[in-house]
Amino acid sequence: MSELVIKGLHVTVETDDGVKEILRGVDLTITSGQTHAIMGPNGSGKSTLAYAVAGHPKYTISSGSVTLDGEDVLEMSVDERAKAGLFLAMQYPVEIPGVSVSNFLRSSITALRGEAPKLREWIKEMNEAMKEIGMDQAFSERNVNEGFSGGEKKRHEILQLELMKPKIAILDETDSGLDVDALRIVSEGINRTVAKNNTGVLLITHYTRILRYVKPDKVSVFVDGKVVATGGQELAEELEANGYVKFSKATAGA
Amino acid sequence: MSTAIQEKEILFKSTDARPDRIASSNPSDFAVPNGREEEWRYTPLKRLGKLHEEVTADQEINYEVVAPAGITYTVVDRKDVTTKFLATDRVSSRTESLWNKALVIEVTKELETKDLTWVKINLKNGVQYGHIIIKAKSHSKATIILEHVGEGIAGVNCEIIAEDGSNIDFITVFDLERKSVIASEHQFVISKNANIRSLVVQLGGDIVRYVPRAKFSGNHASVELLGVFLATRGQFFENRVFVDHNMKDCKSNVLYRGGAHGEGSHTVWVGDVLIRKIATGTNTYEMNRNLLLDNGARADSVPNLEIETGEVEKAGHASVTGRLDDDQLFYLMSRGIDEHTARQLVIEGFFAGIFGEFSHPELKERLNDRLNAAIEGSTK
Repeated sequence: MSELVIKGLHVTVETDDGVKEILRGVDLTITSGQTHAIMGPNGSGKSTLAYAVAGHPKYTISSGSVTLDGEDVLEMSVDERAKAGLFLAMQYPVEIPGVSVSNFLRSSITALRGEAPKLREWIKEMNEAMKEIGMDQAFSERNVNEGFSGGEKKRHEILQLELMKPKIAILDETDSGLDVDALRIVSEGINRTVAKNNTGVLLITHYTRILRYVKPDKVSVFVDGKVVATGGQELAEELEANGYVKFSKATAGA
Repeated sequence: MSTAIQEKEILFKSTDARPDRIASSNPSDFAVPNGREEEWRYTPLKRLGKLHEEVTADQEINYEVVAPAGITYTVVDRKDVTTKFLATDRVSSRTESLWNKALVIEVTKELETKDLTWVKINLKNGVQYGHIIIKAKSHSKATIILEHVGEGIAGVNCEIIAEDGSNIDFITVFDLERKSVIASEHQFVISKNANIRSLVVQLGGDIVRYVPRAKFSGNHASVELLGVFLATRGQFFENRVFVDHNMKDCKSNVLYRGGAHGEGSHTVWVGDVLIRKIATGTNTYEMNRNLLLDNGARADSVPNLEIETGEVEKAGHASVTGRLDDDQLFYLMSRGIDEHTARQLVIEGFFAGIFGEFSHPELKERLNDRLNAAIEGSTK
């Protein structure tokens, strides 16, 4: 049983116009085996939350805390966070020229497990995972994200999620840019991970359509750098019908 | 007496106050540089071991050769050598006037071999000059490696002549000890339907200045000039490439990838491609990519393309110099990979594939190992 606890998180980023505060006191708890959807309009700071928790150097934590099973995540380097059991599926996965998918995955798994996997077992494990997510084996010889279509990039992220078996996974708009078939395949991957590995998922999304395939235990509305409402599936349905207007106004009036 | 013919050739007619760029067999055609000349503006002359001034040889250069059957090699006295080599700068012309013994390699007509010819120049303390002539006779096919190791100061020039229909892979490695200084001008002359693929690898030495010059002696010929260099703390590596499209329907491809790391590391790449009026149907592309690995590193990159005819098939040039991408490192580290390994993966990836064209497995592995060791050193 794992728990990622985010308390009073304030995050700034340096822009051309000076320091800008993006997160203004985020409180969230993600628990093993549970899926918590975060929904919010563009520019509300959802991606900043994902990157700040994962430790991207662009973001500065001005106050607040993030702990994983009581351990201070903010004290850890980026790779230490991954080794502690955190995973971030990125909205825009980066291309790494000259580094093959198989080399990348093997390096990652070796780091996470503390030893190189046995070659034969590893190839079997990788091929099976690729098959489940509908990726051709030839993918493993391509360079990481180079020339991948939008859908291929997202499948590759979910492939990593399934192989790395994190305690807590933050999925940043994994559904964006996917057609219906790809959305279904990716969603199945997320559901498998929760079921098999008891991973706790923070599912960041702009649209409700992924929630038809991935059923959240909780839904939070994220506006202007913080959580403004939390509820169950019905909250997502309300957002589907009425949009974010009501919540935006509430913040403006506060 | 050398039987070299006194010759002079104008490479670039100057369009401003600067003198024309010339190639000559006569050192007095080149003034002692002071560092303000275009071809010397980046080179730290003070560290050049006086190669550009008046220094003469302390000893003979040492050639070691291993070659398969059908490839002959002899060390020949100056008086018995005929060369058409024309130097394009002061140091190169001095090298030409000062070497005593040349290495002459000949690939027999129509010989096709996959076995490597390995030439090793092991520098000794002090100054030494050398000259190598490689002749690939018509329709031959071979791979030749010229490796520079040891510690010393040297001027070593090389002419590579590919006769009709021949195919030569030519790899030059500069992997000298830390205090060494070397200046090399290589001249490639490619005949009809012939093809030279050249790769230079610069990893070791204090100063390595490499001046490859390619020209054609027949139509429908092609040349590839590839390069990989990685300078660390205090090292200066310079590449001045000149491709002279002086024949019709010829093809050239220039691709250099370099890295620099550490205080005072400095790399220079200048790529000149000239398409003369006569050279219709030319297809050429040149590209230099550099990776600066920290704030102490410097890279200068200058691509020049001069086109004198409107009837080219393709002509392009590009230069990109950048730093290690934070987002790439973040991506790898967010998957548990530590920073050192992440940097290494990204740098290896940057250089990956440049040896791909050279299919000889033993060579590829050796170069990869050597480069990876240098990358490993540069990420510490």
